[in-house]
Amino acid sequence: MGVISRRLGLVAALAAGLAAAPALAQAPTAAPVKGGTLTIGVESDFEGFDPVKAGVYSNSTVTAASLFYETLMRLDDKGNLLPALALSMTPNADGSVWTAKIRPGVKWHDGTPFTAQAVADHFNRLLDPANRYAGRAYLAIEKVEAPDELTAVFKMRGPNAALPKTLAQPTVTTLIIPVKQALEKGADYNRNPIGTGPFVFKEWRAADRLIAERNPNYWDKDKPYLDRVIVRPLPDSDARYASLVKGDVQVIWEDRAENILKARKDKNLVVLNWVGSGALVIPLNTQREPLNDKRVRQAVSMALNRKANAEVLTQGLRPVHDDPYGPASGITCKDNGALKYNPEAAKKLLADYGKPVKMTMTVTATPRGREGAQVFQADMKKVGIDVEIKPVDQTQLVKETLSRDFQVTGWRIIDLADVDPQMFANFHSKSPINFSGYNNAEVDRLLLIGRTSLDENKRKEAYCDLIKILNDDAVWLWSGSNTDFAITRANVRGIPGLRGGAVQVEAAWLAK
Amino acid sequence: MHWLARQLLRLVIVLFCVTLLTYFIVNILPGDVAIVILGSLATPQDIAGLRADLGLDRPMLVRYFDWLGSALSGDLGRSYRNGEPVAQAIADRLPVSLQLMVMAQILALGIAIPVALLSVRRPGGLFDRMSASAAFGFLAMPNFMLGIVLIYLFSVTFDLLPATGFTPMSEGLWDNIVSMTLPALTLGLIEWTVLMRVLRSDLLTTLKEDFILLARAKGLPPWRVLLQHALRPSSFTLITVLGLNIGGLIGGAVIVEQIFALPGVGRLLLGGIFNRDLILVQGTVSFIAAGFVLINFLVDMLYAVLDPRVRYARFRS
Repeated sequence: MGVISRRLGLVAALAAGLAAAPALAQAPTAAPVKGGTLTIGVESDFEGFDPVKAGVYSNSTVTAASLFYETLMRLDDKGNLLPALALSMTPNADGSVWTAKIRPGVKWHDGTPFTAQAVADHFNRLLDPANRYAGRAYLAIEKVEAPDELTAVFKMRGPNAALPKTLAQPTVTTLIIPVKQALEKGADYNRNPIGTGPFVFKEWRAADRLIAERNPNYWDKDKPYLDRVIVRPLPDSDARYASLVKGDVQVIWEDRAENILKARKDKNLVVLNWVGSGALVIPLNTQREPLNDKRVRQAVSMALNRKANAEVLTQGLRPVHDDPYGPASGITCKDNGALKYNPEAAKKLLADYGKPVKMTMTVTATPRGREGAQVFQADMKKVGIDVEIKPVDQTQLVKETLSRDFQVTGWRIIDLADVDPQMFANFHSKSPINFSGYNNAEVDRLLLIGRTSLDENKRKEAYCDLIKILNDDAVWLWSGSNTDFAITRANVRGIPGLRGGAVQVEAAWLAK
Repeated sequence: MHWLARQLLRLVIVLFCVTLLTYFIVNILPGDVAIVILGSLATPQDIAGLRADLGLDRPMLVRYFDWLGSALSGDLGRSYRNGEPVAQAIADRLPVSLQLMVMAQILALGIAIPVALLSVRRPGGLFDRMSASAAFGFLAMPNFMLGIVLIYLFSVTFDLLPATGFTPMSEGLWDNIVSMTLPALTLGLIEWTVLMRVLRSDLLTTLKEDFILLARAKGLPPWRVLLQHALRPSSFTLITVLGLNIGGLIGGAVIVEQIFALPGVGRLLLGGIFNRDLILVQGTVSFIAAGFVLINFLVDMLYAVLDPRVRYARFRS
């Protein structure tokens, strides 16, 4: 379950050690007010708005792109599917073909009709290997066809239960662009996007601001409420926070604990908090000595005081869970088989192993990367494991990790609405992205159930069985939840859960 | 003219060395733009394919001379990240950075010259000691900290100036100047300290000269002696420091543009470094280096304007 909580609600929830607070921060107690300009401060400038050219969208870019692009389906804060550009998505008997009924009467901002062919063109372009779109590794789609103007048919590589939810979360893959217009505009399109969304792109001044204005022809006649939205990249977090306090911007994305804690004490501000699915993780390479021995991996897992470390590193703002699913996934397991913090048991396992244990932890050469490695190193030292820290550049870390050239590293399972794409990619023995080299036939079987079963309960059961095995085998260690924060001025209403860290303002409005 | 030709030749050699050195430094940086573009899930084949498309699979020297050839005709290549022409990106951002540096320099001189003049009226006096302490205080303060302090003071507490952001001149000169005041002040408040100390020291030396004694003996009031007789001959080191400080100013601008979210060249460069957009970094650093060398060349020329003795000496040589 997603969490959006008002300041006091969150404090209470954290004090009780709960991940989920029931209160919705911006519950619309009054009727939305129309009009006004909302300015959002985000962390970085935008990569561009053509997914093939941009390759990846940061959460800043998703925040901007969600103004003018849309997904086929949407999710509410509880993870329920809602119609958007598609009215429905229905599977065939085994889930290997999904049919999307496209909403009639929707138009692109240039006035041309939005059809099923546009949906097919968008996804087929991303799937075409010639376009080198890396996100296709996560898409289990074979191809998309458009038998008529309002029907899009997704042919999957095999039975797949996760598709509608996967397509409902706004990402670089799922936000649909008009390929025909993009190809006509060529290189220019990346900086001058066209969508179907609630706001029409007006201007992007690089490194300064992006301006979008209300779409008067939006298919949802009541929305949007705002006349204009400005998104400003403000890279320095203290200056970003000061801009919010001053009122230059009304919403900021934030990750600096000091500012979040300060905002909670300010009556003019409201802190929005979202605990998504996925997790911050510490993958162990099961193919390399000494971590190819289960006893050593278990010892590492039991020696690591994850909860105390998260408290120190994030001032208590990011709860730690015993699985990589997170509250937003809807998967809650009664027994997840987590190995509890127990340095004495870890020492016994190491004694049983019988050889001195040394390992190298590869992390990003950033303060955050180093801090995480230092607490890991300190915990391991207590049980006699010698850890060397190897700080490297971010892209170097990616290269070394994906080529399995590491022992221990820092990674992240991103916040997605359905856990299948990431779990399958990370742990299935045949997956090219299974960089821990983990190979377990039972895990493969459970991952297939999770991917293919159309029975939601059966899927959840499979993922719970799966986590018991992964925790017992200590393949990856879960070091923190995917938590995102935004801070708003007190009069801002209607911002939903920050899925993937993006601020979405389709339903936002400014109270008088 | 012989002297000028020699200076110009030196300028060309320096620029060549700077671009070559930058190219090698930038290219040995760890990281790969192909991974930045394609993301962490890209297949090795896709990464290799993109590197080939970008020309990154060719030997470094071949790439350098290719780049140099195009650069000489004004084409600095296209950003690997978003395809934007590098020269165009620099041209778009340059006015912001230039305005920031010019305003910072004016503010710095606007503080440094009066403070130095007032300090030398009574060396070792209260004002002199206080200004020296203030100068060392500001000099010791990192600009990222000063920037945040100024934001909280002038923007959050007194609500006088915007905290971040840039208003282009096309939207009004006053609004433009207002939006640049805090960033320029952040740079200027650190910059004035060195200028003031240098000018003060030179003024003290000048004030011991015979012609100052003569001016005083003629009964000129102290402020006329200072402004009309002492200031100009004391500005020599100040001008040198102004030229040399351009480097520091550019470095400061990179940070200040980041804090105040100004769309300038410094932020372009920083973005290029984070994204491993080597061609953008190469173009921007070479451009900045060329600017730095050129400004110092002009400073050299300015000596001759300020002091005829330099001019004659150069002609004689």
